[in-house]
Amino acid sequence: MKTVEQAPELVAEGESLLNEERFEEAMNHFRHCLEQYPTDLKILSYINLLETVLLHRYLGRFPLQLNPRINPEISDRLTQLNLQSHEGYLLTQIDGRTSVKSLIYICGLGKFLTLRTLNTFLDDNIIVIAP
Amino acid sequence: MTDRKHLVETQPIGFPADLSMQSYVSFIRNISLPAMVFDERFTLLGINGSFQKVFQLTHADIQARSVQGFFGLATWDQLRLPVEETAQSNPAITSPSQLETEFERNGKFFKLTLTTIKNPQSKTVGFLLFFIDMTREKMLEQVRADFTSMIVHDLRSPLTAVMGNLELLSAEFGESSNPETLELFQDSLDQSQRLLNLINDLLDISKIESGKFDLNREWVTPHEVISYSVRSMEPLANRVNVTVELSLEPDLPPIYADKDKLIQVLINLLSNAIKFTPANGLVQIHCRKIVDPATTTTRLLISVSDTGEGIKPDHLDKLFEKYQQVGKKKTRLVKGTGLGLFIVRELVEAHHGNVAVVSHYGHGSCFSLLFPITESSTA
Repeated sequence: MKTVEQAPELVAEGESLLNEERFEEAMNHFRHCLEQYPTDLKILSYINLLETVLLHRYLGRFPLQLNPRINPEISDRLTQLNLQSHEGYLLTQIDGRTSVKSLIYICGLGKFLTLRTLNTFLDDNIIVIAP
Repeated sequence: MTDRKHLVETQPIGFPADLSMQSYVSFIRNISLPAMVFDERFTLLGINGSFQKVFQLTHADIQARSVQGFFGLATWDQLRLPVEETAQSNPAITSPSQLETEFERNGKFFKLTLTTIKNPQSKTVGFLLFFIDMTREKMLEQVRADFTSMIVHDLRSPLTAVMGNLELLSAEFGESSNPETLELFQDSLDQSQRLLNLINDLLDISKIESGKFDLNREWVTPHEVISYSVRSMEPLANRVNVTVELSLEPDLPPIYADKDKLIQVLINLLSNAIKFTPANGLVQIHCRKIVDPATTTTRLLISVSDTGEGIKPDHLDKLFEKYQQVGKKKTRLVKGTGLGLFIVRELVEAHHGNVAVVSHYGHGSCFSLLFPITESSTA
């Protein structure tokens, strides 16, 4: 079985991102490593650890009962956004009346991906979550 | 009493290949272990002084009652048959290099080691048989078995009764009691549970180390064992205000495993994760299929990750050793035996699985288990 023990620099790079608390980048890095070492237990563990750490952060940022809405300032530029299909789908469900909890349920993307996408939207000022 | 077990093939003994059989007879005279030399037809060629001393028998005595008579038919067959079977089934293959079996005489237990002697053309020309005294090991094994039995009957059973009574008393009088009394009830239950965990851990260790750890395998649905484990840990998680989340892939295939042992592993990992995660923290169980594209082998991954205090890198290597504590925090909740993760590793490996841990100190840890999915043929 191919393991990342053969490429310790890959793990070291991911750990370095972790140490700098660049969790999103670390997650992307380990996911990239997984393409080369799809059964490596260490990489799988790092991905799951990061998912938990990030999910905890997202849950702190998005209380489940809050209703996100599209940022009125960018509503006229919505069609110009370069979105992936799951992002576009989630965005169409955001109406200011549907809670984060309902969005997770409706979209079927899973809790982590839904919250991660909402987090990206919030960082990019696409949505606002003010009550 | 003879017992056919530990019949194993090991590395051949390192003798020069061209020694004559008489040289072997001379050789064993200088050995402190009881020993015998046979020719290729299992005719006795010689014994040594140690043999004579231990068994109070001379070469002539053995010959008078026959070698088979000395060992008993069953033991004698255990020594000879593997060699003869190999020779019959495929004469081109030479005899096994070394065979082991057990032998009891006059209250002493011996491990018998039969070594094949071959000539320079690799033809079997004889055998050396050594008697290794295992009486002390057998006695220790018996002590261990007695100790295990004592723990089960004299410690665990009464303790279980005490805990049951405490729970009844707590349910009956708890609500009408003042907070101090309630706290005493809870404390007594916590301490009893801790003692019970310790006893169970010691029992498991005893079974693992004596090689008597049996797995009752069946087809187990991952969802079932994970849900059960999480439900069991909910009261603890609620008490310390830690959220436990499930992230399970749909349509997970069943695995061939011991359900109770799998639950034991998960409860151990979950319990550690919850104990080391501060209030408002998160513990997550992930479960999904992992396919190796190179071999198309499918495995099942189960991870328990948390947003706890994490483990320092220099502690990670020793984590699965006996009596290692996860972290150094000495709160009532975190006290443990330091045996749990050792047991986890042994149980996972008994299922032909792997275990790994990664941690980021200050942010959390993740313990992962990888199990083969189709294992019935090797069970």
